[in-house]
Amino acid sequence: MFQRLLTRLKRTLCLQQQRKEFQPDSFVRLAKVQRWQHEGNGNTSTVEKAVADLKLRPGEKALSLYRLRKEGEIGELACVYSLTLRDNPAHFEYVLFPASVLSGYRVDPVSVPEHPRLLSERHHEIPDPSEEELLRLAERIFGSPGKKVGRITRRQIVDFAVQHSLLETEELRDRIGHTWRKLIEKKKGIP
Amino acid sequence: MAVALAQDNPSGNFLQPFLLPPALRDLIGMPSEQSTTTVEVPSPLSDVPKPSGTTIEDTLTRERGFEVAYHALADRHGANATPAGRTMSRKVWLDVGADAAKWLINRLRAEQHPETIFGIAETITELGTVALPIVLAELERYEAKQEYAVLVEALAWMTPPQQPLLMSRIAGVIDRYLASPHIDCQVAAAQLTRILNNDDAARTRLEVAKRRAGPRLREEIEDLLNERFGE
Repeated sequence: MFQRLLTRLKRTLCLQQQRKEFQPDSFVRLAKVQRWQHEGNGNTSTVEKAVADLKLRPGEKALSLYRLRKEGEIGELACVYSLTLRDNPAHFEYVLFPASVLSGYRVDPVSVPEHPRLLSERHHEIPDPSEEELLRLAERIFGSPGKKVGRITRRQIVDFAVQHSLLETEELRDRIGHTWRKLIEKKKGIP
Repeated sequence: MAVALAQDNPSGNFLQPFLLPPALRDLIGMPSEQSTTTVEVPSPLSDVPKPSGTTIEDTLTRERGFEVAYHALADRHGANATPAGRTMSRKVWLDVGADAAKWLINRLRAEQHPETIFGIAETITELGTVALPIVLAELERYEAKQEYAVLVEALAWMTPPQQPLLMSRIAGVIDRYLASPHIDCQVAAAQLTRILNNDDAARTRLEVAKRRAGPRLREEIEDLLNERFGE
């Protein structure tokens, strides 16, 4: 019981800390947390690991990013992305960095009409980046004091969906996969 | 999926329809006639599963088909923007069955792209009972490996198997991965307790692990206990 209270307290403190540090114009890239956590002083081998999160897949023409304008949007974005674009419930891991990191890069807003509105509106792309450019970008993100690496847990995603009745919203109800749906319904006490 | 194919292979000429499953033939718009090639030549692709009685040409054709479908695994655009569309896209793999699971596991070992890794895991989950024994055999071959945590989690979302032997092998994988020093392995193992239909077996494992867990695993276990037992 005490441990659970302690865990909840830590989560609250962590969220408050994130809010204090948030910079109003930031970008998010889906990532693996462990690749961006500093091991020593941002040595090259760690940047080399991190750049794996920026590399394009074969056939991909641009680097996808999401732009955030308000604090708290990362939670909403993570939930909508996970619930609609991932079929197995999983944590949403990301690296967030201030827009200033991208100075000198061409960054275009590129809507994705088939995605939920929030994702479509926030979606941006760096067109056709070279490997060298991606490595430099990884270095910049890595060295940015405003960089934040985070994980929105499965439970937070489900809680958000319950709190905001996402299963009932017209835009999302048919986009949420059945495994997520089962978790949300269970949380709501629906047999 | 179709978009990715058009980009990767505008002509589609190299994709002959020899052993491609019907869904992949539809996908690439190829006629459905069968090859008459019968010459047996050893396959140079030692890592790629090869069904018995196939030719090197068949194997290469199938390998190319897999490559095309593989690049679409992480695609969340167009038809793949909805769960139903993604399920349709994965039919390519479901039609192939066990060999698809082996091929995907083989690629997972070197894959770095996070969304492709998710795509592999989701496809393995959807392959379900076809993939389960293959994944278990792979997990049992080695000590817990960090890059296989995603495979362990993929099993967590499958329908629990009926066979006690499979269930006991799953329990063995849970124990092995809970004992791993890697947090991703431990978390994946805790998630895999979802598939245990014996509440006591799941609870015992989670509570033992919780005693020596760090903060992240502890939180994960508390969420699982809360979800399953309302604690």
